[in-house]
Amino acid sequence: MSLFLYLVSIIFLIFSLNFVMLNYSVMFEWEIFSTAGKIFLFNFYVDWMSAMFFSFVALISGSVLYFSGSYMPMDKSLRKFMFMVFVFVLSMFFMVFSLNLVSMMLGWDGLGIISYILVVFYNNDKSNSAGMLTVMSNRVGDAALLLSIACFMEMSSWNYLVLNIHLDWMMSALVILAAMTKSAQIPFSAWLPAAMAAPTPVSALVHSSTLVTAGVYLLIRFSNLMQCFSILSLLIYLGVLTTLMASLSALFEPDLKKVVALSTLSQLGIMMSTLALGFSELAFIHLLTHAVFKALLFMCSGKIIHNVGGYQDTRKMGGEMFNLPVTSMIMVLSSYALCGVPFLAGFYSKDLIIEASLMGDMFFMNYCLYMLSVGLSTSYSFRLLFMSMVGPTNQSSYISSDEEDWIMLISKMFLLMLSLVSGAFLLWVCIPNPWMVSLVAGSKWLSFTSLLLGMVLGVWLCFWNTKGLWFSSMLTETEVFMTMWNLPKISGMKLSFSSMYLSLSFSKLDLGWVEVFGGFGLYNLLSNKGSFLEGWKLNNIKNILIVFILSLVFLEIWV
Amino acid sequence: MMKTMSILLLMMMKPTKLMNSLCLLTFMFIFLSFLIKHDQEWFLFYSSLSSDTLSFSLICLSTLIMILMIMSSTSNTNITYRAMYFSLLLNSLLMCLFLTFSTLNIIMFYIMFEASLIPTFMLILGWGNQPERSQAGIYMMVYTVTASLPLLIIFLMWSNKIGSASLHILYTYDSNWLTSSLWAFILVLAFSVKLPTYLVHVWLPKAHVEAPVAGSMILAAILLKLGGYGLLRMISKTSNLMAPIIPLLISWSLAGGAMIALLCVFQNDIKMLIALSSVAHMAMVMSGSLTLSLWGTNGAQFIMIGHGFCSSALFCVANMTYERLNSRSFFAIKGMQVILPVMSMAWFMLCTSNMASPPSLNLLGEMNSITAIFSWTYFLSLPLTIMVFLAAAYSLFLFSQSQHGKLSLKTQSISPATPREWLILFLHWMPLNLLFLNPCSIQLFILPYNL
Repeated sequence: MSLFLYLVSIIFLIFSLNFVMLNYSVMFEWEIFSTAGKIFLFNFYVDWMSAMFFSFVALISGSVLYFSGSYMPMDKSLRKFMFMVFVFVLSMFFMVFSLNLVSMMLGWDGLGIISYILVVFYNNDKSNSAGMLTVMSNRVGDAALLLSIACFMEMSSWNYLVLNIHLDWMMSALVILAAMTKSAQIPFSAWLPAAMAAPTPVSALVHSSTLVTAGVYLLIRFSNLMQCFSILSLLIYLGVLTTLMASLSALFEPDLKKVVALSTLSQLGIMMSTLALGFSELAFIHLLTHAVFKALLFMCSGKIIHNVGGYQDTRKMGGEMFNLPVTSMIMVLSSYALCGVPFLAGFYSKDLIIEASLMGDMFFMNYCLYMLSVGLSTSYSFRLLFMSMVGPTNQSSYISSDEEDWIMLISKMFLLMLSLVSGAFLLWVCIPNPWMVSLVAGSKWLSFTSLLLGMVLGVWLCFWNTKGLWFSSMLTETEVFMTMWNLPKISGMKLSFSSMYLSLSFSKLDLGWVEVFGGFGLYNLLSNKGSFLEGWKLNNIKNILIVFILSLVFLEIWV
Repeated sequence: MMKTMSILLLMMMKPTKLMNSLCLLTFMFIFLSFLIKHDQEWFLFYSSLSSDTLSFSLICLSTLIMILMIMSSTSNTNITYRAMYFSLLLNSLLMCLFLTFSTLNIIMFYIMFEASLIPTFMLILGWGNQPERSQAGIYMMVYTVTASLPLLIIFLMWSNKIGSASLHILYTYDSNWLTSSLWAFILVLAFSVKLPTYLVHVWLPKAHVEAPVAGSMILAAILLKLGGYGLLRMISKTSNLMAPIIPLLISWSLAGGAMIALLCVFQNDIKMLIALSSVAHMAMVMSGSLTLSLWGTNGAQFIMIGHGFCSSALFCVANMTYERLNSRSFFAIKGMQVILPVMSMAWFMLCTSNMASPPSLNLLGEMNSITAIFSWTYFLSLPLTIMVFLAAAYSLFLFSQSQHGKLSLKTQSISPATPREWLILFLHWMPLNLLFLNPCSIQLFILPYNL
């Protein structure tokens, strides 16, 4: 199965490179339903962008499936798992290759539901609630996308190639809302760390590279149409705020997978704000490179979790560098790629984004925010490395770990190679004419200096916080950061309890007043009034017979 | 079509075993299926019996559901001991439904509309499981009849004034014979009780829950669609009359749908949840068709057909669980995935179809209805969003609560899913998800004004 996906990935890569060179694309159509002059189509549009995205998706899925052969060795569940991952890749296929909003909706809905099933793969309470949170947050986006399909009726088509007019604010708002829920921007961010209750291969595939990037991909495709400045500026700030929040929370988070999830979230925020600034190709490149090294990071953390005995808390890890040299090398390389260390994958995308956005009219706060976003991502990456690999060990003495797991190693090899070279490769392929960047020296060195400063901050934080004591002592101050600025509260229990109270008051209507004016009340009315009338009736047989005979007599007399 | 009628009459020959009537119904469905791809929109097969796409698809649906009803009732010994009476009851119900959907005479339509209540009532009263079934049957009959007696008056006045009771002749005259919106409301009222809409929906949870599985299936699949069918027929030619009250009706049904969807999430009885979700779906049918647009009409048609399959399948699978555990409460039914994995997959497919996930027909219907209602006014996007969101909430709540969790059953052995049960669920799910690829067989091509 994973071989098949690798093959698919290579085929699509070849297609994509071909199409970039020849500026060529292919479109298949299958009409589902047509009425009143509008046609619902399955529309498959293979151009270089979608082919490249899908080849990366297939590559990551293939690696993840191969990896899961060793991570989840239970036979029966593994078959079910492989089937579900395959259906996921199929939904992603529909979403990536579809040209119009309607068939994109099919893939979009399918993605939400399959991610629910994958998150609740381990049937415990935590997975179940995490799955519900995931699918409900995604469902808000689905509803917004359905409404945008309805909205687009006024345009001539649902097809983003054909339209060449700008969307008005409501349509842009609905499409952006859908993308925001899928890519976990600020009001809807609570599901991404919670979805780490899924098995690690699922996190590697779904929550690092494919599901969450679906929102960004939607916006990339629609970016030509969306020029409504008010909403886009809102999106810039929401993206940057998401980045900030996620980076700060990642600095304080003890759970290994949640740190990686929050780092995904911060990179998604960067992607969203880049898109909203108008640089859609740069967002695409960052999407692809991020997918590669984030999947790699998740797979490495999966290996670490296996080796410390199955728990994910970094307060009981450390010192894996000595036991797992190759894994720690991979992890360090992918973390460097994430930070934007020069000439690795992340450098090309992230640096170019920052330089391109600094070339526009900026004010000081933006400068600070960019510095913070790069710097904090470096600090949490280094914190992650320190806590799991480099730092003094907090593990129990009976834990041992080894590097003998060849399946896990080999599954990461392709992705490792890609995380080193994919930045340069993508930049050369996607942007054939390089951008002219002219900046002040201070702006040019911004990302590099903030990288170094962030590294210093991250390592310093880890040293100051040995054995987690400093954070525990300042719990009231750090609690806001640890709980993601209290975002899960609005997505979780508070919302469900308040809707329960609302539904209880509705049932006062439903079982109360509706019955009073309907069946039960009518029954009571009739029986009460009927019993009143019953009292006035002559119930005696004797009286009835007297009336009968008297009426016969009158009849006789008068007729 | 006459072949199907003759087979239906043949079934009056007292089949003593359920399998006999099942075979005859299968033959009938085979004959019907020759007409599924029809090129003409409307055809007359007897002097006052005709069918067009709307009624034909509902006739096919009712026949298929009858087949599946008999298949799912074979495990109930109460039914198999009295197979002849059960078969006769189902047969008479099918006859009433067939005539309702195909008749051109408006008085005949009314008579059959009411007559379909009687076999259902006998089904609920005779084979229901709880003592609340008597109240359930009474509620169903009294609500429907109360709301449709004014409808009878209107029909009689209408046919008296024009001079004929045939729908064609009635439709050629404009609707200026009535000038008050109250009369238009009465025309809609009977169908909105049958559909049902929010404030007059009280009969539905009771009737669906107390009926046996065959009764629940036919109620959810077809009898609710009688309301939709009548609505679509009536609004087509009385649209001028109804124009003042249409905003009222659309807001009523959508607000009610949103409130019912919120109530659904917090139920603790499986069948009641499925029954209330029917109300939410039908709210969208009513709003969609009342927008008097082709999108809305098609949306109503797709939701009706899709919901027929989906709700009926959900009642089947709920009944399979009920037969094993003898309880309908969510507190008792949890962790089913561990012991009945095949049915767990069926639950998942059906729950996701219920919340309009691809590739089910419900998604197509919802897309059309939402398009129609949104183009009517965009203020209604709020109840629509609430309904779409909460549909996912209660469907996945149904799935998760019953399948996931800790199994609390340590003293009972549960038989696995038999091939018969698997076949029933498959035959429900397959049309629902394959018709998505070819909806033109059930699509209404003609404008609502000419229905």
